[in-house]
Amino acid sequence: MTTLRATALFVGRPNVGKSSLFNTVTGAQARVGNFPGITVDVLEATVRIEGQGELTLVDLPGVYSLARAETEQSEEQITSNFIDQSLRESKDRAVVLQVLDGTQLSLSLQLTRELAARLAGVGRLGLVINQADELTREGRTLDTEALAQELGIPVLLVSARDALARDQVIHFAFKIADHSLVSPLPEALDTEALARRVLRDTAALSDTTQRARTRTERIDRWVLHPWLGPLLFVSVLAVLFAAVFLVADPTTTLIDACNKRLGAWLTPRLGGGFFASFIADGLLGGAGTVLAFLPQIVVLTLVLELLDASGYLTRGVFLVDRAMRKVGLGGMSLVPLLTAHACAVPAIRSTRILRDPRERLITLLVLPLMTCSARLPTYALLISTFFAHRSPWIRSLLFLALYAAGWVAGVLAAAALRKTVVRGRPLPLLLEMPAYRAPERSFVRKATQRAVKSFLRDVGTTIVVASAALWLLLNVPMPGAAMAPSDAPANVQRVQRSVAASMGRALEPITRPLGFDWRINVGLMGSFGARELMVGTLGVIYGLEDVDDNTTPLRAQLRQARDPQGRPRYDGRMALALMAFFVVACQCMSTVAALRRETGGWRWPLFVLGYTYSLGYLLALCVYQIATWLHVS
Amino acid sequence: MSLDELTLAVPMVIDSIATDASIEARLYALGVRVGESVEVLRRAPLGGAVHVRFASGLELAMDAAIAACVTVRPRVVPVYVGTE
Repeated sequence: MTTLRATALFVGRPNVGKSSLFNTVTGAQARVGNFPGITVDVLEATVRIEGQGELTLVDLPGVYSLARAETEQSEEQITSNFIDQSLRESKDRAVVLQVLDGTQLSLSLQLTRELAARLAGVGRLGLVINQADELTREGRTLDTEALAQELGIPVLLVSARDALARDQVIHFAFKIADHSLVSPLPEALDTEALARRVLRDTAALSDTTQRARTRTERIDRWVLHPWLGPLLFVSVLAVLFAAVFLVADPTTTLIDACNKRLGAWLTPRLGGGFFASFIADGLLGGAGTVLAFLPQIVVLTLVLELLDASGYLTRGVFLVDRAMRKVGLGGMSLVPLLTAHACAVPAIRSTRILRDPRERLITLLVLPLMTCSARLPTYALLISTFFAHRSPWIRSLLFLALYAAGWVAGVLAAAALRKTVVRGRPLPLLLEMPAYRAPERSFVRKATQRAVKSFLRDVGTTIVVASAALWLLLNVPMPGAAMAPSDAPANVQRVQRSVAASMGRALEPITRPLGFDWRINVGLMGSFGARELMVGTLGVIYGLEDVDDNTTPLRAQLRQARDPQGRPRYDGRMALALMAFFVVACQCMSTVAALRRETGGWRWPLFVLGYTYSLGYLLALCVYQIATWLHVS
Repeated sequence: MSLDELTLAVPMVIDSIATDASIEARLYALGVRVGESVEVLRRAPLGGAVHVRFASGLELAMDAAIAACVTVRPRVVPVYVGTE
């Protein structure tokens, strides 16, 4: 017997339970499909059924309509293109399975009309009505035969929470594959009246419906309370932020410790030379950076999936939207922007919750300006070195000002971007508020697993490559760079002779108006690996060990450093300028790698590098000159 | 009267929707139709948006600017005179 092959595309409105039905049907087999040029994850799975053949299932993004496909990369566009493509490619028998919410049938039937029109005479369509259990609970029955007859489209009633749904849906898909082509629905068909005709209320209806409705209503009374509501939403986000922040630190410490041990074990076994050092510091260091992000990605994805699947996220957005619009962004942007204060890398992934592609792009482009935790060691070093003699109030104010500067820069950049590179009016708030539903554990777990996998594959590799390249830059001697013999340790000599040091010296004429000498320039290059590496790189340049644990010797060195004329090499002006540069410049290869993943190319990450570095330079220049004028020392 | 001025929890019927084409299309896609019954459940803090519920069971968070483009009228309650 020949194996039959068929492809079933899952299409449906958001919040009808399409993805959880897909999860029930495909189980562990689902993986992110390899569809080039798409930044939204489209899941794919292949199941084999004895005697039936092979069925490939594709879970397309949720859409309200096929017609509204005005922007590229919108869910509507992706879904629409997939359907057209499946119609063109005739090697597999392609069927479209529309997933409908039985409890809101008339709404879903609008999409049925569009699908039937699109597929008329060329494709096959089946309706899978979900929430059978919910209907029963509400005391309603659905006459699937009458519905199928009136529409001329086969209908299946299932519940995504029921394990039996798997076989039912698969057999249904094969049945549709052999079914005749779909015809358009009659113009005169009133879908609302049809929904009323096929949904029958059993005796206890009004009572139970009322109860189901009041559950969401009851929760909303508290959750959407005029002032308790926003307080709750901001608290939830604060807890999320704290969780991301809290898991980051111990992981980094642990991975650093493991790396140190592994490096110490590996170095003598690899001969202890330059190559061993490259493996131990360059490659292992990069791999460590990647691993250190994983707990943050897990926490953030897990919490956001739970918030989204439960129906709470939209409510939070409803509450804070106005406040965010005042600064030129939408309510949904608050989640990634807040998370970016812990780390921009998981925050970049979390922008997937934004449905407006323009809003999402703007948020992605300004995220790197938020004051992430990796900036803090540098701020702390500079403030404690050059402002130690000032009162604690001034020092704390300086810290606060740095945080505020991140937000101000973000808001201004968003406004400027909207007028230049990302033109177009922001979409006003218009979101469905689904009834509260308990998120399915396996669905959330799988989404988190996918986030980790995609981070390792798409972002991790870029980080490792960039980290290796950066190590070479800081350690490979510049050809022809002769140095006076000194008694400095080998790694210090290596950095002083490195390509990076030569580049740092070459850049001095440009950076001198900011107060940066070649050492600071090399520190900036080193901190492109991760901002917190600034302190360590400066430590190596000054021949100090383990400056991350104790910055006292480094602070003393920075204060005592003199230029050939005997004047202090650095002062408060340089510290302020360097901090200003740090506020704005996207000094983080991991952010760049994550941006590449989420925007699907190098164009936007390069744009971010370009605009944040030029802006950082200008800002640092202004700060240095103003500080000189104000006699800051 | 427009949807954003509506008293809370008073069901009305959508009379007209007049905003720009893309938003009208989006409202249509979401399932909002002229003639449908609608009520405002609450307003967001700072007056930015309204939470509305339609007869179909659909609930939307809607920017006040969009709600201002949706006009509503009272539901006509049939009055029977005499006996059948």
